[in-house]
Amino acid sequence: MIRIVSNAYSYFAQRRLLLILCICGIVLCSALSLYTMTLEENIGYMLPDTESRLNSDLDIIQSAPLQRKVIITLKAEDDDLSGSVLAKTTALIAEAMNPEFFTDVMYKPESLNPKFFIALRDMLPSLFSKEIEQHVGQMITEEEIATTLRKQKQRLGTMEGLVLSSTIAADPLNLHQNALKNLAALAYMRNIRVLHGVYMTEDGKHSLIMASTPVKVTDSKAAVALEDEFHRLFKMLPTGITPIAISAQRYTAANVLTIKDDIEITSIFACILLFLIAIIFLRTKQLFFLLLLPCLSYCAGAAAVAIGWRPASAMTFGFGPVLVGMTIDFGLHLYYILGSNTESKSELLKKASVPIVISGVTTIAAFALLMLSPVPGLRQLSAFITVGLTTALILTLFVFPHFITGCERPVASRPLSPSSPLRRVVILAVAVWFLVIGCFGISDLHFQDHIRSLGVRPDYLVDGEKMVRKIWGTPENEALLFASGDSVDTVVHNTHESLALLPKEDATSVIGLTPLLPCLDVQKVNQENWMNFWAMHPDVATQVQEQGRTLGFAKHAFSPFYDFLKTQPHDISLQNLRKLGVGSLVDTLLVERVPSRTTVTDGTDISRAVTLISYLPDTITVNAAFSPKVEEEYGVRLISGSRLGNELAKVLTSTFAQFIIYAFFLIIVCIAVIHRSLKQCVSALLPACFGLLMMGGVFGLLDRPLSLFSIAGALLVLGHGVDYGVYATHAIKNNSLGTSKAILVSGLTSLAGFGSLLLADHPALYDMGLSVFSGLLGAMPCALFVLPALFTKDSISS
Amino acid sequence: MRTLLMSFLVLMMTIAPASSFSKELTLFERIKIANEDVHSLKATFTQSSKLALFNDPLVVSGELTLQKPEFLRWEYTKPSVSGFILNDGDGLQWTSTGRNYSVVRTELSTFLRTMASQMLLWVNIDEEALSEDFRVTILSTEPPVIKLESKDKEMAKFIKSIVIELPVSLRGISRIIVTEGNDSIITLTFSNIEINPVLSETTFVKP
Repeated sequence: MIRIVSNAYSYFAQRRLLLILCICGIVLCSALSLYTMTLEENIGYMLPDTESRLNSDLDIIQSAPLQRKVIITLKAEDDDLSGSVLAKTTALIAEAMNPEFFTDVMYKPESLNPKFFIALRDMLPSLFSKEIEQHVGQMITEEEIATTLRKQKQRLGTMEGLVLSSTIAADPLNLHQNALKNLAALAYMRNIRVLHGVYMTEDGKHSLIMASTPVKVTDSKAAVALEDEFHRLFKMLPTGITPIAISAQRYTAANVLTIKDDIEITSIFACILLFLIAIIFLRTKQLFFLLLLPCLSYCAGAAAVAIGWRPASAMTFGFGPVLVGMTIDFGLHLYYILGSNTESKSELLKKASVPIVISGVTTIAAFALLMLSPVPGLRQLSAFITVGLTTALILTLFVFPHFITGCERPVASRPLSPSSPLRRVVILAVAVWFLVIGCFGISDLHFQDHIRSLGVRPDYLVDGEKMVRKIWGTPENEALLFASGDSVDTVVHNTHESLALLPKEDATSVIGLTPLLPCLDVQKVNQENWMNFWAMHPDVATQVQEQGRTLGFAKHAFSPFYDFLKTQPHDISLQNLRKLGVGSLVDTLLVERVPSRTTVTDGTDISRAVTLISYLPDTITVNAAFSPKVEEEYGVRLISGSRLGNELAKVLTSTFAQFIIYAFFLIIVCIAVIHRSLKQCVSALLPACFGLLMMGGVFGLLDRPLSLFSIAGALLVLGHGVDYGVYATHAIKNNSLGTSKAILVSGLTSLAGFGSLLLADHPALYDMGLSVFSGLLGAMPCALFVLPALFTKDSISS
Repeated sequence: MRTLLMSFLVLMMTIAPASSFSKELTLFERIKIANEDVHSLKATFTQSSKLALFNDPLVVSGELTLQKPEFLRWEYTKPSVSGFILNDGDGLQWTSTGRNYSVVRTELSTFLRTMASQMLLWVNIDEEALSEDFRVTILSTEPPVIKLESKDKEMAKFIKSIVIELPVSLRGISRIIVTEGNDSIITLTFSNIEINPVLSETTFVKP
C-alpha cells in the first residue's frame, strides 16, 4: 500500500491536470446526485426496521386518527370575557381557520337531531345489561312513575314543551337516560359542556375548537407552515383571551425551529473558534486544501446516500461533523509530516501514509460494519461515512500531496521532547484519577426510557398539554388499545373480551366505543334480557296509562311507548350512531380504511379493514393484563408510554450498544493485524478506551441517560480515539513532534466543533455534543500526554 | 319672464317624478316607525298548548319583559314558577318550588337559547332580520297578522309555522301562534302591555 502511494505520487507528479479533473469529477457527480436527493425527518429511521415491537407500535400509533388532530383551547383571563364573549371569539377563530391546514373544524355540537333521545331509547334493548336492568327496575315503581309523569307535564307546559312532546310520548319514563350513560364512555374530555352554543367548560372560561389537519407529523416544512397559521389565528384574539394549541405537528415544528436556531448559534460559535485555531496554528494558504478535503468527502458521502436511499433521513446529515472531524485529521497529519524537511517529499509521504492508512482502514471497517445494522438510519450513516472516509483517504494519499507542501514552520521537523520521570508520574496520577472518576460515573449510567425525550419538548407545549388535560379532564398517561380486524363486529368483540380481563377500577376508566356499540353476541344477550324483563313486568304500560290519565294526559298519549315495549329489538350499528349525531366522536376511535402502507409485525396486521382504539389508564395492572399471549389471543395491541420506553431502552442496549462493541472488536482486530505488537496495539487503542470511559463517566455523573444520539456520538469518540492512538503511536515511534502537533490541532478543531453543540437546545445535538466533547477530552490528552508518558520510541518498538 | 317660466318648468320636472312614484308605506315600515321609540316592553301572557298528549289544552301563564336589542325575561308564574333570562348573550334558567328559587343553569340550554333568540326576533318584527331565517307572509294588514315559516329544514321539523298578531297601534304584540311539526299548537296571548316601563336593574340578571 505504501509503495502504491509512493509510485502513484511519482506517476501523477507529471499529470496534475488529471488530478484536477478527478476533483472536478467528484464535485460534478456529487452535485448531480445531491440535486435529486429528497430528505425526510422521521424518527423511524433511527429504529430497527425488523419485526421489532417498538417499530410496529410506532407504525400503529402513526395510524391513529388523533395524530392528525388539532385541539385549540381558548381561555378567558377575565370574567368579563368568559361566557358569550368567549363563545363569539371561538366562532370567529373557527371560521377563520384556513382549510388548507384545518379540516373538520368543530367548536359546537353537530346539528340538533330532533329524535336524539328517541334514537337513544331505541338502542336501550341492545345495551340492556344486568346493571341497566337494575336501574330500570328502580324507575318503574308506582311512586317513581307518578313523580316522573308529573315532571313531564310540567316541562310540557313550558317553552321547552315545543320540542319535548314527541320525546315524552315515546319515552315518558326517561328510559333513554340509561343509554346516555353509555354514551358518556365515548367522551374523551370529561369536562366538556355545551354553553352559549359552543364547547365550553362549566364555568364558561374555556372554549374548545377541534380540527383535523392534513399535515403529516413527519412533514417538517408543512408543520412549520402550520405553526405560522396558528400565530396568524391567535393574533386575531382580543386582549385577555389566550390560546393553547396542542397537536403532534407543533412538536415537529418546535424541533425543526429549535434545530434551525441551534445550527445558527453553534455554527457561529464553531466558526469563531475554528478561525482562532486557524490563526494560531494554520496561517498558510494551504488551509484552502485542508478545508477542501472534508468538503469533498462530505459531498461524496451525501451523494452515496442520495443514490442509495430515496428519501434519505435528514438525521444522517446531522452526523456531518463526524465525517468532517475525521477527514480533517487526515489532512492535518499529511500537512505536518510533509512539513518536515528531513527527507524527500516522496519519503515523507511514505511515512505519513502509514498512520493515515491504519486509522482510515480501521475507521472505515468499523463504520462499514454498521451496514449490517437493522436500523435504517445507521445503514445510511454507514454509507455516508464509509464513502466519505474512503474519498478522503484517496484524496489525502493520491491527490493532495501534489498541492500541499506541508507546514512551513520548524515545529514539523522537531522531535518529541522527552518526558521527565516526575512529569510522567504526575501525568499518570492524573490519568488514574480521571479513570477512577470515570468508572464511578459509569456505574450510574442508564439508557433513555422515554420515546418523547428523543426530540425537543418546549415548556410552552408541555405545560400547555398539561393544562389542556386538566381543563378538559382528559386522562393523563393513557395507554391505547388497538384492535384490528376484518369487520367492525370483530374488533368490537375482541376489544370487549380483552377489556373484560381488566380489574374493575381500571375497567371503569376506559374510554371507548364498546359500551355504546357492544358486539353482536352481547347485543343479542341484552335483547333477550330486555324481552324477559318486560315479560316479567307486564303492568308497567297500564300503570303509565292510568297515572297519566290522572294527570290529564290523553288515553293514547304514550302509544309510541307501549308499541316500543312490544317491538322486537333491533341491533345497534355504526349507522345508528352516525344518525344519532356522534359520528365525529366515533371517527376518532374507529378507523375504516385501506392503508397506504402494509405492515405486518408481531402477528398484528394493521393493514386490515378496521381498527378500533380504546383509551385505558397506563397502570401496572393494565400493562400486566395485556401480555403478548393475551394480545395474540384477542388480536389486540396495547401501546403505552411505559411500554414504549422499555422497548426503546431495549433497542438502545441491544442494537446500538451491541454495534459499538462489534465495531470496537473489529478495530482491535485491524490494529492487531497491522501492528502485531501488544504495546503498539495498547498504545493505539488506549485513547479510544479512555475517551469512551470519560464519555460514560460524564453522562453518569450528570445523571443524563444515554440516548440514540449520545450512543451515535460514542461511535465518533471511538473513531477519533483510534485515530489519535494510531497517530500518537506513529509520533512516538518516529519521535515526531509534527505528528503530535497534528493530533493537537485536529483535536482542538473537533473540540471546537462539538463543544459548540453544547450551546444547542435540541437534545439530539446537545447529546451528540456532550458525548463527543467529553469523549475527546479524554482521548486527546491521553494521546498527547499519557501515551508519551507510558511509552518511549525504544520501548514501543521493542 | 322666459327665465322665470323656465325655472318653473325645471322645478316642476324635478318634483314631478317624486310625487308621481311615491308609494304607501309597507306594513313593516309602519311597524318600524310605530316602534321607533319603543326600547322595552312588559306584558303578561297566557300560554295555551293544544298537544296531542293531552285531552284538554295545557294552560299556563306568566310575564314577559324585553329590552332591545337582546334582553329577554320569560317567566312562568302559574301553575308552577320557572323561567329563563337571555341577557345580551348570557343567560340563566331557574325553577321554584315555593318561596325559594333554584338556579337550574347559569346559562341557557341550546334549545332555550334558540327559542329565546327566536322570541326576540318575532317580537321585534324586523323584516330584514326575519327574512334571513323565515319565509314571511302578510296574512292581514288590519289587524296586522304575519306568518313565518322557517327556511332551515332542521328548525322546520320542530316548528311548522309562527303566526304573529299585532295590535292596531302596531306597538307591542297581541298573539303568537306556534304550530309544531306534529301539528300541536301553542298559543301565546299577551295582555297588560306596558311600553317602555321602568325596569329593575336585576330584571335581566336575577330570577
